[in-house]
Amino acid sequence: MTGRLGTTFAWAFASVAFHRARSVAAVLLVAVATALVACTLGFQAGFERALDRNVEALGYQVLVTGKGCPHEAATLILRGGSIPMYIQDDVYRHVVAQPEVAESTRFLMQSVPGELPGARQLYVGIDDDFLRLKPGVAFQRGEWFSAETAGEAILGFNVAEFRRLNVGDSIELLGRELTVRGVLDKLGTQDDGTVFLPLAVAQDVFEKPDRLTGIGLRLDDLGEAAGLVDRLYDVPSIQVVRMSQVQSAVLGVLRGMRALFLAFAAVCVALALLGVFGAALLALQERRGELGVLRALGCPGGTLFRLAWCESLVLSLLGAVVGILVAIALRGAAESFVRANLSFVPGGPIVETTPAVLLTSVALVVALCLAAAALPAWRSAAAPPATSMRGAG
Amino acid sequence: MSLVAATGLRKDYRQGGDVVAALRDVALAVEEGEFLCVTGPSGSGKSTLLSLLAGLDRPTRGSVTFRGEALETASSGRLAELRRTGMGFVFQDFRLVRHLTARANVRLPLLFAGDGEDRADELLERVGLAARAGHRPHELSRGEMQRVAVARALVHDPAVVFADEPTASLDRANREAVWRLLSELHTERGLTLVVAAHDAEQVPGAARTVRLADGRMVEPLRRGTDG
Repeated sequence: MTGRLGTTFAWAFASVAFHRARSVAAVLLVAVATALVACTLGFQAGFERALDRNVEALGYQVLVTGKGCPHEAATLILRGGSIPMYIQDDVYRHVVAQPEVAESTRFLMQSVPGELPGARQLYVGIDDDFLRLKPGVAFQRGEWFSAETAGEAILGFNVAEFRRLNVGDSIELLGRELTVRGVLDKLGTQDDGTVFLPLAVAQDVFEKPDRLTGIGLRLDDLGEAAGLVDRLYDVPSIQVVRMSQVQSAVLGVLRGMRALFLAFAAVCVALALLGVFGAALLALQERRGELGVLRALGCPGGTLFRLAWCESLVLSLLGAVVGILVAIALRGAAESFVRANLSFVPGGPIVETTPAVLLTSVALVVALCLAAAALPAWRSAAAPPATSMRGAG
Repeated sequence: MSLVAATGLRKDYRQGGDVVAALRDVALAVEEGEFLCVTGPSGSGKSTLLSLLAGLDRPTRGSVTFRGEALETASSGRLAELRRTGMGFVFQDFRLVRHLTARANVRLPLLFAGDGEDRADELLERVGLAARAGHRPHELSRGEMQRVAVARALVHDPAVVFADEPTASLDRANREAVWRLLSELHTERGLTLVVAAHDAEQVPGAARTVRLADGRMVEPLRRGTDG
């Protein structure tokens, strides 16, 4: 049995190698389809996980911001940028006095033109409670600010890497010189591209005294969030949003995008199926005489079907393997494409080419290709040998 | 009981809207160990007759038996089984599998049978191609390809070999070599041979010749090699 299976595969490989042009065309079509399916599935899984990771990295479950659209504010905070809505510092004392609040942190977020054309550098003023809400944050080197008003900065990992800055170096911000006090470990979130300042220093440099962009709250019991939100709703000039609502809203938008991506991937898969179907038809038409001879020599119908089908299996497997390599190689390009075309994209990798994603893509494409090749294989196995040989000339 | 027998054999083909009779009322019996030559001009039905006798095609009417078993009613699976256990084939245009070596081509019937002694190398040596066993068909001459086909027809030790104009596309020297080979194998192994040829003069060693014209057997069965 193993010997026959080995022979069947050996035949298929030999035939694929012998008919090079046809095989290469079919393999390329399958490869493109596999790569697109892998990127689409990888995007689906990666975006959600990246969003979870970014929201989790914020460290709070409830966000208090100035009046405006709460979801817009939340996504801006996730993405990073200047939000022209502020709350007064004294509101903070009222908010944190609520009984449901376990931990809280205040921040002021601003962005200024960065070193690269069109790029902006994000600055966030933070208070001493920042680290308590972010247990995952660790220093790669250096340490926390020496004082609440110290002219110091803590750099996200990517900022330090990109600008080649180290602890003790100086950076300039709106005419103010700041000393690098620490560099954070890589987090895979927006924080990697952020420069953190003491809150008071940020309020001073950006001329926003006693102003905050937001207050992050961690509650003792998330089940009590509704009561807190209702109560804070009565406070003028602020709005409250749960981060889980933001996630749902972002994922709702993503679902529409995902449908578009899936439709695009489906078109590519359909093209690949047509390619494999066409290649199988072409191969079997070309080999019609050969298959007729095999039938004449007594080849059982099942064996003939396997021989014909196995060639499609080899083509689709080869195509899928190439497609996986293409997907891995083009992951960065796919990420850039998504980032360029979506208004909100969370930090960190958003197209995941995990083994599960790759294997699912391969299984899907190969299964569909085999289904497409089954009919031509069955027809070639069922034709009388004299008819096949006569037809093939 | 004859090894292969046909009675009232008719085969029609459709050509456009017309029905063309390729064979009409043919009766024939092939005995074990016989060397039979079927002759006739192009289009006389020689190839069709061999196809029906070998179960490669089904008659429109009439009956064909192999070792007493009716082929016209046998399933395609049973026909394939009969071919792989009891019949060998040599075709006019060799019909070798292009991506397989000469040795792999010769082994094909053994592969389908799933058992049997691997005599591929022995037969390749017998047909004078031991040194060419690892070559693919496009690396062989036409005469060599046909000798590979002869070896393939014999490798599973069949009861009968059908050869449809096996020398039609060969030059004179190769033609003579192939006929000599088939004739020797018939004598050496007591092989039953049914060959189709344009002209009986080309087939040395055939003990009996039947002639077809326009799908009918036009001459009674004759013994000898007098054409």
